Amino acid sequence: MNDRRISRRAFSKLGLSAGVIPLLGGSTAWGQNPQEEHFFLQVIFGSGVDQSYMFDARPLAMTAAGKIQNYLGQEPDVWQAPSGQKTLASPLTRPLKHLAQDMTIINGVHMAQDFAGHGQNLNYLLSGNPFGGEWFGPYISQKSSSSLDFLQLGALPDTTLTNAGNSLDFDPKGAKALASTAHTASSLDTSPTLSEFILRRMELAGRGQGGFSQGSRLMHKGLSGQSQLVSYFSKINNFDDSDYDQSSSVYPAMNVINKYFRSGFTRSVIFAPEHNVDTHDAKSASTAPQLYSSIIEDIKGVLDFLKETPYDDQRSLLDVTTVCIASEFGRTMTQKSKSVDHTGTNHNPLGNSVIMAGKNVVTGQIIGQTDLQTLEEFHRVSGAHTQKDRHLLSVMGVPYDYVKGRSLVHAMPETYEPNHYIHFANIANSILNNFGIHSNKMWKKEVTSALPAPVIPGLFKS
Amino acid sequence: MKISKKLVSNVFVVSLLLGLSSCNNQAPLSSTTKAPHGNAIGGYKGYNAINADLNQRVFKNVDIIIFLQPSAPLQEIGPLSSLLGSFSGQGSGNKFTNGTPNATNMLLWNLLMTNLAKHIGEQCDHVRNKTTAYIGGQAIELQPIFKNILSFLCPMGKETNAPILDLSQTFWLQVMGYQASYDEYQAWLQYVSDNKEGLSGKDRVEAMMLSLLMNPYYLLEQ
Repeated sequence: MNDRRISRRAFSKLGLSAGVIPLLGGSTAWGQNPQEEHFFLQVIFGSGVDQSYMFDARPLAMTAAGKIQNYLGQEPDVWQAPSGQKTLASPLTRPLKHLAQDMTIINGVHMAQDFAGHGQNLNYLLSGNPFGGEWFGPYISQKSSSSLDFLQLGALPDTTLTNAGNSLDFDPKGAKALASTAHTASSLDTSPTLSEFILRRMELAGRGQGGFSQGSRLMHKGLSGQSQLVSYFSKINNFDDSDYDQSSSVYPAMNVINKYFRSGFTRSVIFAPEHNVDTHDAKSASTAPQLYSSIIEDIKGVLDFLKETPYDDQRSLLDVTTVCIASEFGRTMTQKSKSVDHTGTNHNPLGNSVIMAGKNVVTGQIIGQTDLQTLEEFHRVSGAHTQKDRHLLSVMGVPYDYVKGRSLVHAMPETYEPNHYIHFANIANSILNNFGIHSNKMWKKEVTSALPAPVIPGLFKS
Repeated sequence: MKISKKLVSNVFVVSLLLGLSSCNNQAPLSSTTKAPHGNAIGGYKGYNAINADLNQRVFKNVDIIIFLQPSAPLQEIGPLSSLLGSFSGQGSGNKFTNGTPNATNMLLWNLLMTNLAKHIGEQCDHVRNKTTAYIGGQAIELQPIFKNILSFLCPMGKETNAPILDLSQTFWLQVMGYQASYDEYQAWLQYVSDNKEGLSGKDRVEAMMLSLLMNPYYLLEQ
């Protein structure tokens, strides 16, 4: 384990509260193979994060030239990753400096092709399809005998996940009530005859072909698995007031995530902290410094919590969890015909950023970048960029060489070809590959593509 | 004095009619509030729909979430209703969540309905004694027609078949309405008939209620 500090006191407190690791009858016992303990946390800051206030900033000279708004009004820092790669980062990211070794930043990520809507790009972020589909979190949970495919904390409006049936979508504040309520199920005293009758009716109703029958089958399956579920809840029936510590806004959710991961209840979580950065108007855009300070505080809260929370006497929760932090897209530099001193920002699916951290991630890197880094670059723009963004209001990820694993900064493709760039599909497939999920589940760069998008070399340990 | 079957039936019908006529605000029993979420998989109608339905057919102004954990404060368990199938979000982002049956929400529905059915059984004592039941300081009042049904059903001990089965039909129609198939009703009636011996009135009412409320025809959208 790295030289991060985990206090004995913290470990003892959590060790007592986590309870005994349950044996799952008939399946691999949780904890018997430490190498198997591998969780996935997808953190989504919805509504479109402006990466120029994060790890893809621009010099003030560009603001002075009217190319990009900068309501912070400060020159960006040079963020040098431990690997030596550099990017310009907003000074707002300074609270994350101590985590530079623990995360990898991926800039210039392309999102849904030809769609700029929140729902379309959230669907793409989760399923690889702008119209919705399967999220891969359930595949991860289903590799073990987790009871729940995934837990969702926070709202994701306009999304359509087709495999969300065995998930739980709730407010962390209700976690204590849920656990204590579920615990009372162990004392239910229904007569065997009545229980058999109820199950029998569900089974018979489930023999048809339609949606109602399918629902009945799911009811039957759900009711039949109650005893195992109650045992999971008994392992997390230990909430107290300190679990709702408001010193960090993400703490209640992270505490729930910790308990649900440790109990084996699920292996996948979507956490969507509530922020609204959809700053189309100048007034809201001008509050960017406050908005992004808050987001960065949440990112810090998530990663610090994972890093400082022991999983066992040798590993932290971060050591056993792969983390992906993203928004559904980035934002434009400015709006057409607006002064940068008084402009909002629109959606930009061509220049998103993603932060990866945790288990198996090769951390301390910066992968990919966007174009239009300097004023000079506005005079030599690729045909591909003007094809997508004629007025040069957006930054766009530059082409990427998947063989050599590096950005092709000077490449100037004449036309836009999706395979030239890093898309979120590449990141998703890298995650899937990391979890040993079969290639037939992998995403395509476009829905109509024949082949899966290639994994990003060097993002994960092989 | 022997009480003839005919007298009992006549008294019952008159009482039922009197009960019906006193319920000016009774909604039609042939349908229930349907959650218009158009679930492709037969998902739950949702908490609000079931709550509204039970408040037409059984209760008067009761938020049935209290039955999830009767000993807990309402403000603590109230938010758990979102886990039983509910709409969340605003405007175009409004969507129906937690509506597909899985182990977790089935656990919660089972808990809620089991405690609710148990309470209905306990209402037998209150109907007989003309007292009011309370949960956490809240009075739990029943719709007059449902209370009327219980007033006849609860005292039924080892009586003849006919009154219990007649009453069972009325009970079924009052709670389930016409949501389920006739075969489903027949199966339930058979269960009630086969298992009425040796049960007290309140235990029988509890079993009738739970077996009905946990039926897919009651909980799922069709």
